[in-house]
Amino acid sequence: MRGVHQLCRINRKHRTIGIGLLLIGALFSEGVPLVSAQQDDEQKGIDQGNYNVKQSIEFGGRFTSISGNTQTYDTFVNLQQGARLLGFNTEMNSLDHHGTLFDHFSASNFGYGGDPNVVSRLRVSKNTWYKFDALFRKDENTWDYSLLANPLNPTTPFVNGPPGYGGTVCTACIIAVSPHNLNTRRKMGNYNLIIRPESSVRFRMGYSSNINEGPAFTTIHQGTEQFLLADVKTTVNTYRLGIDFKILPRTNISYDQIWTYYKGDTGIGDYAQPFPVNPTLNVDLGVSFNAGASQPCAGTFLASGFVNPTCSAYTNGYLDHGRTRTNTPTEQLTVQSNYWKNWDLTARVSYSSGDTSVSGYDQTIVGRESRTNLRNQINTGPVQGRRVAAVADFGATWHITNKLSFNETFHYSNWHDPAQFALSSCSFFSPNLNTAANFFTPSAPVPLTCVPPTGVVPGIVAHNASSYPDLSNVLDSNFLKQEQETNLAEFDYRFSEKYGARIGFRYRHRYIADNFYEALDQVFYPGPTAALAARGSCAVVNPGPVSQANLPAGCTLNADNSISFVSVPPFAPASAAVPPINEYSGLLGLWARPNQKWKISYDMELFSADGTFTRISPKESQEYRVRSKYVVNNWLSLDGNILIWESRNNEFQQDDSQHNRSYGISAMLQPNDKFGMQIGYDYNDVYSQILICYISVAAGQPGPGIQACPNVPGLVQQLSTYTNNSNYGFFDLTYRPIHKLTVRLGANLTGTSGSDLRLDPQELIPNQVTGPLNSKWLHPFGGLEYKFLKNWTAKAFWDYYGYHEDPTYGITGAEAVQDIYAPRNFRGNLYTLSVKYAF
Amino acid sequence: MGVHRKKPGIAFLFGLGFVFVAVVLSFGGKLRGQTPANQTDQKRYVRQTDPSLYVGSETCKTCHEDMPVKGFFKSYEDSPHYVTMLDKKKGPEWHGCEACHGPGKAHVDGGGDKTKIFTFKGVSAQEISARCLDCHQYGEEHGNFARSVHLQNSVGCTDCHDPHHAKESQFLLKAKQPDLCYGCHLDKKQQFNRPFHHRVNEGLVKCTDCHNQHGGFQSRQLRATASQDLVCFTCHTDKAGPYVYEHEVVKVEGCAACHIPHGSSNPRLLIRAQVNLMCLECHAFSADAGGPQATPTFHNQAQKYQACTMCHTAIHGSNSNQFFFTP
Repeated sequence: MRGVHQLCRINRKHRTIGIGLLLIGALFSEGVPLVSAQQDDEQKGIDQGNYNVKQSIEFGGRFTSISGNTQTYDTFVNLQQGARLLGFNTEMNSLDHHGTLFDHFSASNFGYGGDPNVVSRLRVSKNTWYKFDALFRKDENTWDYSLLANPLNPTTPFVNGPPGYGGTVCTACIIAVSPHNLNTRRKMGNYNLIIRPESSVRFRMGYSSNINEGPAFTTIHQGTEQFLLADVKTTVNTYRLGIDFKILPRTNISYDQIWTYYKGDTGIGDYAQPFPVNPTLNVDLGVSFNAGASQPCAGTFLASGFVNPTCSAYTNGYLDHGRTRTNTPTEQLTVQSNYWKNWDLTARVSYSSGDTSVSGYDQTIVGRESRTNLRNQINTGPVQGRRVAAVADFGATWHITNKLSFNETFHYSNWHDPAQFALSSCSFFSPNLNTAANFFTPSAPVPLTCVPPTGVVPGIVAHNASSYPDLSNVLDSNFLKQEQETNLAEFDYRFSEKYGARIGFRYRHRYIADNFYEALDQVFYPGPTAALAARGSCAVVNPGPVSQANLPAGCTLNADNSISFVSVPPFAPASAAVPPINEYSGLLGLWARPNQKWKISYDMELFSADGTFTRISPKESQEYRVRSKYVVNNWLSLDGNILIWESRNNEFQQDDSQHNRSYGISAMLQPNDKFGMQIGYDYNDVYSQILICYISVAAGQPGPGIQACPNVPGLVQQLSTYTNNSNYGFFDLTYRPIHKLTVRLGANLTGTSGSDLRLDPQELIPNQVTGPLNSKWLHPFGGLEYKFLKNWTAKAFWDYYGYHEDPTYGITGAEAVQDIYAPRNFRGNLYTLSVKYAF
Repeated sequence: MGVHRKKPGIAFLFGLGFVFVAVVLSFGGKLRGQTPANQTDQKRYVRQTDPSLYVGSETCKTCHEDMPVKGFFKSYEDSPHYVTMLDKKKGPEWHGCEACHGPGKAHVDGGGDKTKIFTFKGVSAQEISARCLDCHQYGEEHGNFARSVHLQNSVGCTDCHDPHHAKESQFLLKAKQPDLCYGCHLDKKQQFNRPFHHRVNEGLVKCTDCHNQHGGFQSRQLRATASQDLVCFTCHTDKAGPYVYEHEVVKVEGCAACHIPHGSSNPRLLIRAQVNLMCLECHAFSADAGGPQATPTFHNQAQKYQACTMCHTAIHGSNSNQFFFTP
C-alpha cells in the first residue's frame, strides 16, 4: 500500500508539473500562430575510423493517473507506468563508401520497457554487394471492452443465490469485464537480404515470423454460455527465395519461391467453477444470468444454496485442443518491361497449393446440457483441407502520343478451399449433475468404439427426445471457391502540363461455388425406454410403436433395440448454387495544377452489378472524390477533400441504401522558424438502411407498427437504419521561443453521434445499450523540450486520453443498467519525462 | 454441379478492342511520329548517351558542395543514390548527379545556367516519374506506377520523396508515415483517430504495410499475402484458414464486409455499433437463394441472443463446428 500511496503522490506531483509546463507553453504561444517541428539541429555525428557515427538515445519514464474504467483504457491506450527506452537510434555511414563489412548501418528502436508497441528496425548495406533489412515488432493486444459478447444481464434477483446473485438487485450479474477478454502479444519479424542489388542478376532471401500468444477468455454455447480460458498460440513462418534477371534491356524478370508454415496450438479449458452443486462438486454456470428468462436455468439455486443439478453447467475437465498445421508453398513469376518503345508492361503469375490439417483434435465435455441430458461427450477426428490459389495479372500502358496513353489492367484469380472433418463423437447422458452418466452395452455391431470416461457406469441411459446419437461418425466436407476476372481499360490524356483527364471502364466477373456435403453414420441407444432410441434422424415417421417400417430411410432397428442410421444419399450437397455476378464500373478522373501553388483532382466511379453475394453489397453505387492542396503563400497551405459514396440494393425485401460522406479541410501555417501549426476538421456522415427480420419478445410479435417477416414465420420485419456522424478536429502547434526551448501543444478530438434501430424500445434496458454510438474520444497533448547541455535535451510531455459514452435511456426514461453498473468511460493522464542524448 | 458457362465477357471485348487500336495506331505510326525530336518525351525518359555531354559529379561538387544549402553535396553522398557513382560498367548518363539531372556540360559551360540542365521544379509528375522509374520501375514494388491512382492524379515521385532533403532517411521520404499520407488523405487521419483503430499513429503499422502506394493489381492498391490472400491475414494469421466451416463472406467479400479497416467508433472496427444489427443485415431472410439463413425463432433479441458472437465465437471460420461455436 505504501508503494501505491507513493505512486499516487508521484502522479499528483507530475500532474502539477505537467500543468505547469503547459501553462508555460501556453504563455509562450500566446496568440501566435505557430510552426513546425524540425527542431533538432542537424546531427553531425563523430568520425570514427572510416565511419561517421550518429547516435541518439532517449530514456525516461511514464507516469499515469487513470480514473474510470481502466479496462477500457487498457483496450484503447494501454500506456502504463514505468521506465522506458523511448528511442535509440544509431547510424553509421562509411566515409569513403568502401567500408569493410558495410557502408551504411542504421538501427532504430522504440517502446522497450513496457509500452504496448515495440519496434526495432535494422538496415545494413554495402554499396553494390548487399542490402539487409530487418524489422521486428511486438505489440500487446488488450481487449476488455465489455459490450461485445456480453449477455447484458438484467438485475433480476436470483432466489437463494450466493451473495450478489440473490437479494433485491443482482448487481454481480452485470458483466463488467468482457467474456472475450484477451491479453495477447504478437511478435512479428521480417528479415530481407538482397545480394548484388545493382547487378543484372540479383538474389533475394527473406524470412518472416508472426507469433501470437497469450491468455484469452472465450465462451461456448452448450446449454448456457460457459466461461472458458484459451491459451492462444499461433505461429507463422514464411521463407522467401527470389532471383531477378535484368539481362534484357529495360526488362526485369523475377522468380520467387515462398513457403508459409502456419501452426495453431491454441488450447481451451474451463478452469473456473465458482458454484457448488453438491458439497464436493463445483460447476461453471456460464455468463448468462437472467432469472426472468430462466437463464441459465429455471430455479438456478436450490434452497440449500446449491446449484439446481438439472441446470446446464460444466464441471472441471472441459478441454478443446488440436494441432493445426498449414503448409503453403507459392511460386511467382513477374516480368516488367519497357523493352518496346511506348510500351510499359507488367505481368505476374502466381500459384499456391497449400494443405492444412488438424491432428490430435479432442473436445472433451464434462458437465451437463439440460436440453439433451448430455453429461459427457468426447469429440475427436482429423481435419484435412487445402487452399489452392492461381493468380495471373497483366498490366500494360501504351503511350500512344506524348499526351495520350492507354492503360490496361487484367486480374485473374481463382482460389478454392476444400476441407473436410471426420468427426467421431461419443455421448453419455445423465438426468442431473449429481448423477454419473450410464452407458449401454450394445450387442449389435457399431461403427465406433467409445471408451466410457471415468465414473460412467453401465446402466439405463437417461436419454430424452432431444438427446444426441450415442455414437456418431460425421464426415463434413466443404468446398468454397471464387474465380474472378477483372479488366480495367482507361484512356489517360494530358491536355497540358496543367490539366489531365482519364476515362475508363472496369468489368469484373465472379463465379462463386459454395458446397457443403455431409455423411452420417450414427447409433441411437435405447433408454430409459426402448422407444427413445427412435430420436433425431431416426424419429418414427408416424406416431406409434418403433418398428423398422416406422423408421425413416437409412435407419435400421437392431436386435438390442438400438437404431443405426446411415445418411441417404451418403454424401449429399446441402447448399444452393450462387449465381454468377457481373460488375460494371465507369470511371472518370480529372486533375489540374493550374499553377505552382494549387493542385486538385477529381475521381468518379459509377458502379452497377447484376447480383451480389451479400444483402449489404450494393447493386449500384457512385463514388466521388475531390482532393485539393493549395499553397496560399510561403507560410500557409490549405488542403481539403470531399469523398462521397452512395449505394443501394433495391432487391425485393432488402431496400438497402447506404452512404458514406466525408468532408475535410486542414491548414498548415509556418510563418517563420519559430512557429508552426497544423489545424484541421473532418466531418463524416455514414448512413445505412436495410430490412431485417428478427424476434424480440419485448418488441411484441408483432407489435404496433411492426409487421411479420414474410417467408419466415415467427419473426418480425423492420427497416434497420444506422446513422453515424463524426466530427473530428485537430491541431498541432509547435513554438520555439528560444533556440533551446520547444513547446508543443495539440489535440485530436472526435465526437460521434448516431442512432440505430432499437429492437426493444419499450423494455427496461439491460439490452441494446448503444455503447459507443454516441461517444467522445479526446486526446489533447502538450509538452516541452529543453536543450540544457550540448547534446542533451530534456523532455516533458503530457497526454490526456478521455473516453465518454452517452448512457442509453429507454422510452420510460430509465437508464440502462449496463451503463449504470459497468460504464466504459475513462480519463487518463499520461506524463512522460525523458532525457535525450544525441551526437 | 453442372458445368458453368461464362459470358464471353466485356473483358474479352475490351481486350480485343485494345489489340485493335494498338495494331492500327502502331502500324499507322502517325501519332508516334508527331513528337518533335527536340521535345522532351514526357512519359518516357530517354538518356542521352554521348559522353561528351557529361561532366561528372565531382564537377558538380565544385559549385554545389554547399549550394543551395550547406552540406548539400554531403547529403547526397550519404544517400542511397550515391551507389550510382560506384557503377563501373554503365556510361556517365547513369552516374551521380547527371543520372537524374541529365547531362551537365551545357549547364557548366553556361556558368550555371539553370535552363541548361534538367531541374525538377515546375515539371509534371509524369515527367519526373519517368526519370525516376527509368531506374526504379523494375520489380513488383514499382512495376505498376504508370497505372497507379497516384500518378493518374498527377502525384509523382517527388510529391512524397525528396532525394536531397529527406526527413526520413529510409526511402528518402519528405515526412514520416502516416503524416506524409495524411497530407492528402485527411479522411484517413480522422479514421485513425477514432477510439478503435489500427495502430498507425502509434508507429506500429504503416500505411504501406497494407497498401502499395506505387500501384498494384488489387483494388485500393492493396497488397496481398505471399500466397495472394487478403492482406489482413499477414498479421491476423489465425483468420486465414482454410476452414471446414467457412464464414463465406470473409473469403469472398473480404474483411471489409464487416469491418472498417482504418478505424471506427464501433468496437472491433465493426461497420455497425451493435453486433446483432450487423449480423441481422445478412442473416435476415431465409428466402434468399443461396444466402445465409435467418435467425432461429428462439434467438430472442431482447435477451442474451443479441450478443451473437458470445455463442458464435469462431465467427471467422471453424474446423469443428458448423455454427462456429468452437474453433
